[in-house]
Amino acid sequence: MIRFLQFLIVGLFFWGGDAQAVRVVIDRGHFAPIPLALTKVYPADSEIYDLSQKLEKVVQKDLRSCGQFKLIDPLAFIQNLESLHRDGPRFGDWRILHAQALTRVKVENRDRKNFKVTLSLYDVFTQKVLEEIAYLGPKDEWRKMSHRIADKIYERLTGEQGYFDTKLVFVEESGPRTRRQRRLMMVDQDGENLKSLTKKGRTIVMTPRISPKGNRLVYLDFGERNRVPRVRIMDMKSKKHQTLGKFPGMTYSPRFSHDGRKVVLSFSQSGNSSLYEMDLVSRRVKRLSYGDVIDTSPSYSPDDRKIVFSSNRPGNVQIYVMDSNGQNLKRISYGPGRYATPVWSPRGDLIAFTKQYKGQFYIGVMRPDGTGERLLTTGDVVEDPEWAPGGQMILFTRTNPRRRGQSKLNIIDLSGFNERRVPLKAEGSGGSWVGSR
Amino acid sequence: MNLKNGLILGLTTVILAGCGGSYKKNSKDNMTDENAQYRGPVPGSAEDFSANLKDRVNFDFDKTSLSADARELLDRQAEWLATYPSVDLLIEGHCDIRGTREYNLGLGERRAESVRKYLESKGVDRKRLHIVSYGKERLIAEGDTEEVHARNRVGISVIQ
Repeated sequence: MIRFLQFLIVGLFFWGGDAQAVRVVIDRGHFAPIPLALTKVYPADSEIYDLSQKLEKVVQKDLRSCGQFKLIDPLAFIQNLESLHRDGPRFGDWRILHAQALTRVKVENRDRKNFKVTLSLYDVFTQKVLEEIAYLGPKDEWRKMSHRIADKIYERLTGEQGYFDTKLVFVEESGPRTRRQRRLMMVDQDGENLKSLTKKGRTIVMTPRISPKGNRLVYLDFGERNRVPRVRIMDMKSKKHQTLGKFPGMTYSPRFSHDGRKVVLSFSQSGNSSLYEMDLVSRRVKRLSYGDVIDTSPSYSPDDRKIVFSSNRPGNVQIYVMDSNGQNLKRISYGPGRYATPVWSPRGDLIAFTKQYKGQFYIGVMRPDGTGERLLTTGDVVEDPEWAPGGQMILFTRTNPRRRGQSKLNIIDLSGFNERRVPLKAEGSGGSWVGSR
Repeated sequence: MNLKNGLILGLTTVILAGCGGSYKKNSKDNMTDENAQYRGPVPGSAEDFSANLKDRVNFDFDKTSLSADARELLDRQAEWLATYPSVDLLIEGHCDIRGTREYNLGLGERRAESVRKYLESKGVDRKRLHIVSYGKERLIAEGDTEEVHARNRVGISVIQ
């Protein structure tokens, strides 16, 4: 049943312009997973066997979860591992399995603390080596090394920037929605290495977003008694944090510029939310937008020259783009429904957003001029889209309003195929990707 | 209970400092055993407010304007606040789940501000009126029905 639902959701597209209704089109034409023969990791000696097994599991999980590959059943393999590593690939044996690519991964013991992992990636049809790379590193960083190997395979075969060796920050939530306990957490994109950034408690914390270099975090914190919602900035090394600026009212929806020098946010005064930019070096604050409206969810273009944000100036929430000095304001969303939480893709070519239409929520993308709107997924409540550093995946929050408001972090790729949950025990929301690797 | 009743109750209630066990012996109040047993709310207290007044006004979907009913309800809050000038109010703005988190923070703030502006227009000193928006982060009710959504779209007055 779940698989069937996913199939429906996955093929959901919206045609912009003057269309009167959402058309559901199931279109799987443009998506073909790459057949990959992922062979077992070969331990050069028995001492490294355990590590080889762990590494193998992670690489396999990464490549399977991303949905870009069709992993060929190892039971069908003809050439055995020993021979593959001793003699090199017998390409005929792999061609017959319709494998497009073949991996050969070996781990070796270097000393007590370090190990070496070597990846060879082959194109089965041209019989050429696509990639030959070795990493040397500490054994206790085997997980990171595994992700790196998976990233290399992924990058070479898909042409996209790998995202396995990345982290997420998010809000861990527990308890009923009316009495939520929250804390900020950091985790590997595969749900491992969970670490807390703030203490668990009744204080509302929201929208953690990391600086491009990964050294600072901005987020919303309501204060001890949940009465003073202010944007705070945290140093990721010391975990020390402080209120950003001296605004005499609620500040929220913070986001770093791509050069890491500025933070743009909403400041609410007399019920109006306007956008402000704060220079983190000079601490100077500049007002960017005006009006008896709610302007929020600002996000910079990759060159920091433009800002996309949501505003209810036409009467309901829509998406606007302006120059980062506040000039040349232009509405870009014109489809039916409400459009919010725009986030500029790191590649610059797309803007991810949340759409609400006839009681449903959607996660979608459109070009920065508002054309080419495409909806990727839907639900009772899906929101908070955030881009992977490579711009090919979107992290978002899916909330079930009936099941005690349960929120889960999900990842979907740009084709709209392969939506998957970030495997976390607790509930999670408002996640964002840590940009640097 | 309407305001008139509330005021009468408030004026006729003898101040009971904490009631029962915490009753202070040096209290100037002429207390007898009989009225010590009366456990009514202290006039001007949060309990008094919630026992005698409605604490919340409702809003329409994605709206921040006050209905005639809401204004009437706030008139009573304003009168109560005029009676107890030392009491401060925290106005919480809440939203239903049918909006994105950040937008709803702005919307909740606007709702709280809408209540504040109205109370101010009725003579309550702005300095006594504090606001906070919870957007959809502190839902009053859980679920996905119209009734639940309506219960979540409120401005709540909380005595400080």
